[in-house]
This record gives sequence, C-alpha cells and structure tokens, in this order.
Amino acid sequence: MRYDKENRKIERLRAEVVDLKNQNARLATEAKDVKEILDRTLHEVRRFSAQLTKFSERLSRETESQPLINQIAQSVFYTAGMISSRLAYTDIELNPKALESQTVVRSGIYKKFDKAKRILAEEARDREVAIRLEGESRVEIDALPVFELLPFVLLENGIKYSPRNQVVTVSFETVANRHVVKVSSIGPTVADAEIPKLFDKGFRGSQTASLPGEGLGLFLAHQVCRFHDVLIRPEIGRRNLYQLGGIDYCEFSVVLEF
Amino acid sequence: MFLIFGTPERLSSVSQEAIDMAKAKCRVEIAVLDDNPFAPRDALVNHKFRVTELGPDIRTVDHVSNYPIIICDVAGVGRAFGSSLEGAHLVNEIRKAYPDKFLIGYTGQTHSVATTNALTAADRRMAKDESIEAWIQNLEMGINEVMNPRNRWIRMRRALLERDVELLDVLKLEQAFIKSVRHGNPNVLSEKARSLGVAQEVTELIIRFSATAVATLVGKALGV
Repeated sequence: MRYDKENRKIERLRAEVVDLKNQNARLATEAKDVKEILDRTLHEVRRFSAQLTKFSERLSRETESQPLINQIAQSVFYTAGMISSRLAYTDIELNPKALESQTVVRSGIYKKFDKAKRILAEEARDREVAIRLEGESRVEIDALPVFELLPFVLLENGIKYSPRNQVVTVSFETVANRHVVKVSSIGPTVADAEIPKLFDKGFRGSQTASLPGEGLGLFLAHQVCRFHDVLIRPEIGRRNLYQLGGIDYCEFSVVLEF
Repeated sequence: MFLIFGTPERLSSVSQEAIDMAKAKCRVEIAVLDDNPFAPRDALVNHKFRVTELGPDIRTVDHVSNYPIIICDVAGVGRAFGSSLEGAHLVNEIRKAYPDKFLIGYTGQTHSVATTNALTAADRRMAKDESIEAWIQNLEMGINEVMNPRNRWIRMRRALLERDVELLDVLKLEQAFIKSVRHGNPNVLSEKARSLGVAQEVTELIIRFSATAVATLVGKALGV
C-alpha cells in the first residue's frame, strides 16, 4: 500500500521532469527562432539605413541651389544617422564587444545639438515649441556613434513635455575649465524624492504618468554620457509655475559637463 | 660560431610618418567584396577614394592581391571557400596570405557576438550603415598604415614570428626589405627569402609580399 503511494509519486515526478524537459526544448527553439529573426531584421534594417543615407546624401548634394528641398534632404540624412545611432546602442546592449569595435569620430558638441534641432524642427513646430541654441562652442569630443542619441533625446524630451508656446534652450559655456551644456525647458514638476530615479530605466515621474512615453529617454542619455565620461545631472528650478490639464509645471534642466 | 659584421639598418630609416593624404588616396586602391552594391561608394568616391567593387564571388585570395585595403562584407560573400562564416572566413584567409593588408570587416550583424568574434582578423569592424565620417576615418587610417613601409613590414614581421621563423632570419629578411625599398627593387627581399632556407609557406608569404606590397612601396618612392 505504502509502496503504491511512493510509486505514484515517483511517476508523477517523472512526468513533471519530462514536461519540464519538453518546455525547455520548446523555449530553446523559440529563443533560437527569435535570435534568427532579430539577426535577419537588424541586418536588413542596417542595409536599408545605409541606402537611406546614400540617397539622402546624394539628394542633399544635388539640391544645394534649392534651399527648401535641401533642408528636407538634410533632415532625412540626419534622421538616417539617428537610425544608425539607435542600432549602435542596440549593439552595445546585445554584444559586450560592440563598444570596442565602434569607430570613434572627433565631433563638435554644438554641431551635434544643431543636428538634433534640425531633425526635431517639425515636431517642435507642430507642438509650437521653439528650440534655441545660446552661446558658442568649438569643443570637440571623441564620439561613438551612439553620441547622436544624447542631444536628440534631451531636445525631444524638452519638446514633448513643454506646454505650447514655450522655449527649449540649449546653452553652451565654459565653467572652471569644463564645457557645460545646459538643456532647459518648462516641464512637469519633479518631486525631490523622484530626482535620484530620473535616469533609471522605465522611470516616470508622478506628474508625467498621464503623458505618453516609456521612461527611456533620460536612461539612454545617462548611458551615452557614461560611455563618454560626461557628467550628467538634473537641475530643478522654480516649482509649481502653473497647472495645465492637471499637471504641475516647473523649470527643468539637464546639465552636461564635458 | 656566430659572426655578423656591420651594423644593421634601422627599420625607422624607411618609415614615413607624414604622408600626403590627397596623393595617397589617388594611389591606394580599395577593394570591396559584397553581394549588394556598396552603399557608401559614391560618397567615398566624392572624397577621392579609389573604390573597386569586386562582388561576392572571389574564388581565391589572389584576386585581391593588388589591393592593399579590402572591405569585406560577411553574409553572402566568399561562399566558394565553403565556410559557414562566409565573409568572416574570407577575411581570415586573406589575413593568412597577406598579413600586411588593411582589412575592414563590415556587417549588418554588429550586434552578434559570434560575428564579432569571427572578425577578429580584421583591422576594423564596421556596421553596414556606419557614418561617412567613420568610413573616411578608417580608410585614412588604413592608407596611413599601408603607405608607410615601416608599418607594413611590422605587420609582416609579426606574421613571421607567429610562424616560428627564427629571430635571426627575421632580422635578415628585415634588412633585405629595407634594401628593397631603398634601392627600388622588390627582388632583393624575395631572393633573400629563397636563399634563407625557411619553410616553403614562409618563402611564399614573402614572395607574395614582395610582389605586391614592396612593389607598391617601391613604385610610390619612384612616384609611379
């Protein structure tokens, strides 16, 4: 009688083991399939991105005498560059050796912000937000392809969270031998307790919960700064400036020290 | 008994630290191995690089012997060599036959650890959609490397040591190389390789190097 009970238990456990092995094999196959899909997709996206760069570069070269078309061609060219930069970040996430392979190019900081401004010009216009670059900068750094993401996400955040008819200001100055870039705008109020979490992946402040977004922008900006030894910190100015749609607004800046 | 008279020539005597990049660009031919049209081609040609697309189907590494810089895609390239690593395998084979060449492995799979590992023989690994600035920087780096006789020999010297060539033989070959460049005669080096009695594989390596790299460097010195 007792043996029967034990035998039934063993049988049950054996069946569980078989089931787990089957599940494991299924998951391994699924992982392999997903990897193959990812490999093929990234490969193709990179190929299309290279084509897009090629055509927009040619178009921008051949339309130099037509400023309006040329500006659009430049925007397409720069946007293609953003696809590359974003994929370069995916490389770093998936491949620990990607960072050491990527080509470092000497790049002007001001130029990178100006480029992001051009890419986002239409979005800013649609949201009735102005982007202003103030001060001068001839500072260059050794930039990885992912560096493009930094000015882009900071300006995009500024535009996205600003109420209408506001300005996103990027100021460039040198303070105590460090080049300081400050991106300032009016944005949803950040509580003191939320400040240390602003650069966490997926973090969204209580005042931004009802607004679209995934909490990735500042996380990405922080990662890019880490790769380039750039200090990044938030700065909160006057709080409770006004309330719009149930959201409290404050003066918000991200400060970069090169 | 071990007797050597005289003072060896210094390798630095044939070094060329600063090159005229505009002139060098006209001289250095860059081969591209890819199963698709090479997207940055036009932009690079506009920047005065000499780019030749050879397609994906080369049968032997000798097809690229005249190109000091080679850009090689991974997927769909070099299938005749029968390896699942395709272009990455081809990069390894070119590296074995021509250690002095500047090789760029480029791929749409820079996210893949396996592809990155397979491309360790390349001097640079690049993504398919890398910026034009990055292409220019890497190609200029390659031109600086292949147009400098010292750097070119150092690549070859490393390959000789990896193949267990005795240090004294490496020194003798190095002296012959310096003489080849100085006197504008690639044969000095190949004859030295034949007379030294080193392994056949090493002799062939040196003969190939003399016929391609040394001949180019000598031509450059003569302005041809």
